[in-house]
Parts: sequence; C-alpha cells; structure tokens
Amino acid sequence: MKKTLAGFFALLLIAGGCLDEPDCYLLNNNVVGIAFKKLTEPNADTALNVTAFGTVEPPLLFWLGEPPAPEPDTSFTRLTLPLRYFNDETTFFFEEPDTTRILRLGYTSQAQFVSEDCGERYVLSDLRVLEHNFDSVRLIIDVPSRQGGTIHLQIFR
Amino acid sequence: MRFTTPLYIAFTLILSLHPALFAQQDTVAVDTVRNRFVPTGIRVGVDVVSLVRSQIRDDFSGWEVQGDVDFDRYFLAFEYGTWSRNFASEVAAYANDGNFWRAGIDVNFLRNDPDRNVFSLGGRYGRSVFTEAMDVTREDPIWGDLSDRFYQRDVTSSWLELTAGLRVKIWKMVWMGYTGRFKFGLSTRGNSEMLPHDVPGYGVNNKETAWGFSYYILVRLPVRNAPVPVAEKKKRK
Repeated sequence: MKKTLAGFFALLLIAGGCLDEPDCYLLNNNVVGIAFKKLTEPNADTALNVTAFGTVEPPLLFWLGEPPAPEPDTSFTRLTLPLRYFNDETTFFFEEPDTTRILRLGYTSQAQFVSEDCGERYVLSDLRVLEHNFDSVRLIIDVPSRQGGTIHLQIFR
Repeated sequence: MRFTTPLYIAFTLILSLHPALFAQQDTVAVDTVRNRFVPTGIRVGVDVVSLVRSQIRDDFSGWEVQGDVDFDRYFLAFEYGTWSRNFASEVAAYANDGNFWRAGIDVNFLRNDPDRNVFSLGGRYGRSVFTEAMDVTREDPIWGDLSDRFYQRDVTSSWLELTAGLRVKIWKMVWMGYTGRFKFGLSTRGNSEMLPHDVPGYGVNNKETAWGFSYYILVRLPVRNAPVPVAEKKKRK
C-alpha cells in the first residue's frame, strides 16, 4: 500500500512538473506558402522567373535556399515567405525581367506571453490578400503556419 | 365495451381509493421535503493553497474564500478570490491582476454521516475580470530589433469545472477539506492585439483544459437544530 501511494505521488510530481513547460521551438505561426499556377491550367504549376524578391517595408531581399550570392535569374514554382508578425500586413515584391509584381497580405496578429524562458509568441489568423498585380490570386488557407510545407495562396499567371 | 359487475366494482374501488392514497402520499412527501430542504448550516472558509502560494512564490499573489449552504444532499457553493501574476525575463515581462468567482452545486455522497462529513461531486461556472500587460524586447533574425508594449483591461473570461471534494469536521465548528477541479470550456474576451496568458481562477491559457486544487479551512455556522443523521447499519445475511 505504501509503495503504491509513493508511486502515485511520484507520478503526480513528475506530471505536475511537466505541466508548465511549453516548447519554445517555432512559437509563431508567421509563414505562408505560395504556389504559382497557370491561369489556363489551374492544376499545372508554372514558374515565376525573378531577379529578386523581398519585402517593401522594411526593404529586405529573400532568396530561396542558401546560395552564396544572388543569382541573376531564379525560377520558383513554390515559395515559403515569412510574415512580419508584429504588424498586421506585409508587402512582398517580385522583380521579373520586365515588371515588378506586388503582393500585399493582411492578417490579424495577437501577442501572447508563453513563459519566462520562451518569452512571447504571435498568433496570426484571418490571412487575406489586400492588394496584388498578378493575374489572379486565390486564398486557400487563412491561417498561416509555423513552418513551411503548406500552401496558403495560389498565384495564377 | 360492457363492464361486468366485478370489474365495475373493482374499477370504482380503485377510483375511490386513489385520491385518498394520493393525498396521503402528498401530505407526507410535502412535510418531508420541507424539512429536508431547509438549510442546516452555512460553511465559510479560506483557501490555504492560495495563501501559501502567495508567500512562497514571487510571481503570484492572491487569496480565495469559499462558502456553501446545504439543501439536503445538495450544496450551493460560491467561491471568490483575487489573483495576480508577475513574470520578468530578458525577452519579455508579463503581469496580470484581477478577480474571479465561481458558483455551482455539489452533490453529497455521504448522506447519513453522523458528523455531516461530505464527499461530493459537482460542477461550477467560473468567471473572471482582469487586466494584463506585456513588454516585449527581442531581436528577430529576419525583422531585426523588436520592442513593444501590450496592454488590455477589463478582459472577461468564463469557464466550466467538474469538481470532487471532501469536507471533514475537525473540532466543533471547525472543518477542513479540499476541492479538486477539472476546468474546461474557457472563453475570453479582450482586445484584438493580445491573447490572455493567465486567467485568474483558471490558470495558464495554453491548453484546452486545466487542473486546480483548493484546500480549505472552514467554519460551519448552524442555522437550525436539525436531527443528527443516523449511520445506516449493514444488513447481515
């Protein structure tokens, strides 16, 4: 009986010790995935040929993968982009050889304290397309993800 | 359909007896119910866990009082408390302050205990109003330095609880006991910039459910002289 009770309380202590220890890894869900599609064949992927892409404010350049230097022309069929989580919108630009494309995304960002060790996290929701100059943009999932792999937007060209 | 004579007599007898039987049952039932459901005492107490927690932890301050009144085997319970948390680290500082109440019913499963000890299962509806603030300072690898302050006041939260509790008479009017709580169904209403981290009376808002435990020291004030329950003797075969 004593052993059973001791075991029960030990289990309770271990379980209780784990209750308030959240995982600090990938707390913010501020990633959106974009797939480029053909306007005439919506199921077929197409490539976006860009010389550069990034954000307008702040002016940042993003590159897929980790090339040692920016390549002059790069083709993408899918992109994973980070959202500026402490604002409620992010504007991306895509420099093509003959034009500059703009994609302005809006969302609701809510901050939440997690723990003393982790600090805070940002919970993003209600993703929407505010402005763009592509042929067509379709929103598939309106909640951004914590990491890449999910397609939230389809851009038709 | 024709009634035969014996059937007619039996039917008439049943009809004539029925109101009398019913009236007799009614009289007894009303009398018993009136006695049973008049409260015999009011119990009020303080939660020791909150007081001890306030003393030994730097990040918590609060207290909680509890009261209940009996209606036969049912107890109407009410709890009220205050709660504030304060965390500070290099990347974020958080503080909240508010009060909460819970109300509900416990059902006693020790009906004939001569000391009126109670083992109960029950439910609660909880509600809290609080203010919270958070300061954030961090360096993001993409977006650079980030520094912001979030504040929201009059945040309201509500939730439900399933409870199990024990109340034991220690000496004369002094009682002790505990209540274990399974909390669920939390909903909060605040501003759109911030999600609550810690809800007074509920706890940390990072899971669908939460557990709670209160240990009370209570005083029971009798309000009428009720007969002491008699313990049921086990029947021997």
